[in-house]
Amino acid sequence: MQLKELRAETLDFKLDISSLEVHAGEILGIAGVEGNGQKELIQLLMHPKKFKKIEGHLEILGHDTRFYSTRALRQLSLGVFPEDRLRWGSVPSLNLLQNFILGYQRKLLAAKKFLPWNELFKICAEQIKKFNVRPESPLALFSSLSGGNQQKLVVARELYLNPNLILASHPSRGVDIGATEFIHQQLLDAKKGNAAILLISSELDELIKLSDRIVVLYRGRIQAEFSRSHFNENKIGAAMGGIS
Amino acid sequence: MKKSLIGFIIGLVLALSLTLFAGENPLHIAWILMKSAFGSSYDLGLTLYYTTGLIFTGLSVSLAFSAGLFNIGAEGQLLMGSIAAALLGVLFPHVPGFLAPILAVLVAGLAGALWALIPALLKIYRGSHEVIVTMMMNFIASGLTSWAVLQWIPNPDSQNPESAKIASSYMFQDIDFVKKLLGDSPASLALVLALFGAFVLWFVMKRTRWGYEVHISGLNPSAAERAGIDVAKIQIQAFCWAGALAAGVAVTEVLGNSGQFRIGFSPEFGFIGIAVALMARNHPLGILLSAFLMGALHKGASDLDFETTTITRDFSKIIQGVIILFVAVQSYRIFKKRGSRVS
Amino acid sequence: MSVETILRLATPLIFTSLGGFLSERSGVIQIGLEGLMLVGAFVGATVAFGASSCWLGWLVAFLAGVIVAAIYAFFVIELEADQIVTGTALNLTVAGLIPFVSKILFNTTGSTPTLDISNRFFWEPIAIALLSVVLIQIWFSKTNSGLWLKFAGEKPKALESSGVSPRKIRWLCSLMAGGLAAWGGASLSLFLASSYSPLMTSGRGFIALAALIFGRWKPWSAFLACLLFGAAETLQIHWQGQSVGGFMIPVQLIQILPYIFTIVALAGFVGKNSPPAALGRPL
Repeated sequence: MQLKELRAETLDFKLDISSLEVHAGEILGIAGVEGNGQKELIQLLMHPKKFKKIEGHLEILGHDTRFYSTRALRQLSLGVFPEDRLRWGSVPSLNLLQNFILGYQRKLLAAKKFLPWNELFKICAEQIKKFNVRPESPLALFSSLSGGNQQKLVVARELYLNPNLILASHPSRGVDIGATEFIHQQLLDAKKGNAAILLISSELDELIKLSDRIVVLYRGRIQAEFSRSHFNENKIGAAMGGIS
Repeated sequence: MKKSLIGFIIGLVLALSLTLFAGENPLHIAWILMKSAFGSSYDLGLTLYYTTGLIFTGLSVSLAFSAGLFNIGAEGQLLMGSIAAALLGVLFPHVPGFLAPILAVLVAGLAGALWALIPALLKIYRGSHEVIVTMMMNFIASGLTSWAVLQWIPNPDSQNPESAKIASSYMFQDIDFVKKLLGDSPASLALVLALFGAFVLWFVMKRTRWGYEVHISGLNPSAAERAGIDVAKIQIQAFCWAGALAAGVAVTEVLGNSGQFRIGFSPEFGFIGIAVALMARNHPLGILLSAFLMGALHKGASDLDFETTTITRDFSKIIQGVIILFVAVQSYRIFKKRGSRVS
Repeated sequence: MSVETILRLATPLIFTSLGGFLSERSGVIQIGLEGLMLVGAFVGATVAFGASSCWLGWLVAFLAGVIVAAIYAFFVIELEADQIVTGTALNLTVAGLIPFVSKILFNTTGSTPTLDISNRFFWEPIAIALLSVVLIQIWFSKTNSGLWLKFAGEKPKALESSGVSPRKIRWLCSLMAGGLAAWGGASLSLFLASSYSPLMTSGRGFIALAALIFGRWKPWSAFLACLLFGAAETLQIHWQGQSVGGFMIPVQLIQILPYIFTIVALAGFVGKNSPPAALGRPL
């Protein structure tokens, strides 16, 4: 994934990113006080059509996606941990199986007019087991799960096809410690499997623990960049406040 | 559905107890309702005629609901579908017999769909609330169809506000075993079409990708968009199909029953359809049952006018109102219990 | 077609529209205006007949509207039932109940007994309607509490944090809306006609709602819209069965003009048209 000299505008926000690149086998952390463009960055990557104007270079997995629909983006090898799983990543009133195929309804196993529920059920049950989601039944209601288990289901879904690029925003928000550990391990495993990972978080600890590099977002711009050997909580914190 | 049945029974009991104030015996009223709805094969036929219409409008409201839209406009859509069928049948009498009914069904469906397309487009591209727009469009449809009937195809043999008869080739009387079975009552083969429609919709919503996308778009548009669903397109499509389903009433009334457009023929199929869909909690097969109950209630109540001296046919509206209220409050409870709010 | 005729025909719309204004501006959708009008028309005519006093009928009609609106408010504000669904239920139940009560009271489901000329209004509802428009417009645009109304429908959270309960505002406005819409109905049965007849509102509740939307949720503009729609109704009565140069004037098509205007307005083709931000959202 590569962004260069990119200017993008919505009605009330401007992103102006000089250069942002995530390589395969790398976790790039995005730090910043919330409201400084994290949400817009994900929107730009996933819903470029919602932007009034996009100028510059925007490349995802080798595609110029400035004019891509979300449906087209979903055809790429891409996994997204939503910034707010109840709003962007699930339908709480439906069961786990129905939530599991969200985003896959036009892809691979379900690329048919008729949904093969039986096969999907098997796949979902396997993933649930593998990711240790409780309760284990694909027919349980999503809303009946704890925050950690909800997030694990979302992660299980997004990692199911071993995507080459993972956009992970706030992977541990509202999630218990055990599940957080588990999800962090999944991200590290994916990195080992040569995936490129963009990690957005408001938890500095999480970023420092997982990232190879950290970029600070401030008012829609990149304020500073730190490589792993130069991680320093104070300096990153200062950059988040706009001081470089 | 079980809870809705309880709601139906509560509504019925409440409304029946009201008759005490009028000095009637509620059990007697209940007996009249039963007798009038199912007493003879003709009565049953009329009940099934209402049922058929209500299945179509119930399915229409329900499909729109699934996509997250409230279709108050089934009444207007069914009027536009009916006028389209009547115009076709009167102005083009020479369409061959086997083709005519099929053509009429398609034209009626298309008219309903196009009428629904307007509020759908206004909703998606201009942000106009579909409830208000469809409500207004019901009145417009009512005015337009009345005008069109009297202006273009008035009945030359009658002073009644109705259209001329459509060519007999359009009416599928020869193969109408439903009508034959029920002694030439208003029920018709349209009932079979309605049943078929309910099964198809059930299958589509349950088993197809499109149905899944409709469902997700309705429950959580943000998540739907993130999942690569074109919510705007899905909602427009669903609303047009809802319009086409409502237009199914044209088959019951114009092709299956009167063979003409009688101004004011609909006993507010569109509005009762809302109650039908709510009661069935949007389940296409549940709609069959709730449409039958509401149809029976409507037919049963229609005889109260002359079977009693104190209770009128409007009685059914009280029951419908109470049922809708009951369902509206229940959905709130479910909402609260799950403790989650879908934006 | 005189100004007076237009004002007379617009009076029911003005009351109902003002009621709708209060309710919707405070954040509560009121689809049940039609039902509330029917209640006002029936109760007004019944009491005026029973007590031989149109003023008493007028007063009790308001109260009846308030009571029905209170039931509605309880469902949508306290129980957070869907406002459109509940409004639909309100319309249905009222349409079912009135003939029932009428049958018990007067042994007919048709019109209530005709009111004596002395028990009818001559012009008073027009004056009250105009006064209401002025008062509500001033209250809404010039006073502090008018601002509360705006906030209850736009940003209830902000209102709450400033110490005013949006719940109370919504309750109050819903009740007032019931009373005003009932007056809209009562001005039909006590003023334009001389009795209640079944379904005499004939969609005026919806036209009033249309006028409110056409007037962009502002009292003064809604009033003007009511006049416009009143004029359309006058034209339609005036032209009924008349022809111009052998061409029958299509009355049905004039009838639908208000609805077409409203859709065009609602679509924002003439200026920006946005309903209160929190309209229909429970607290």
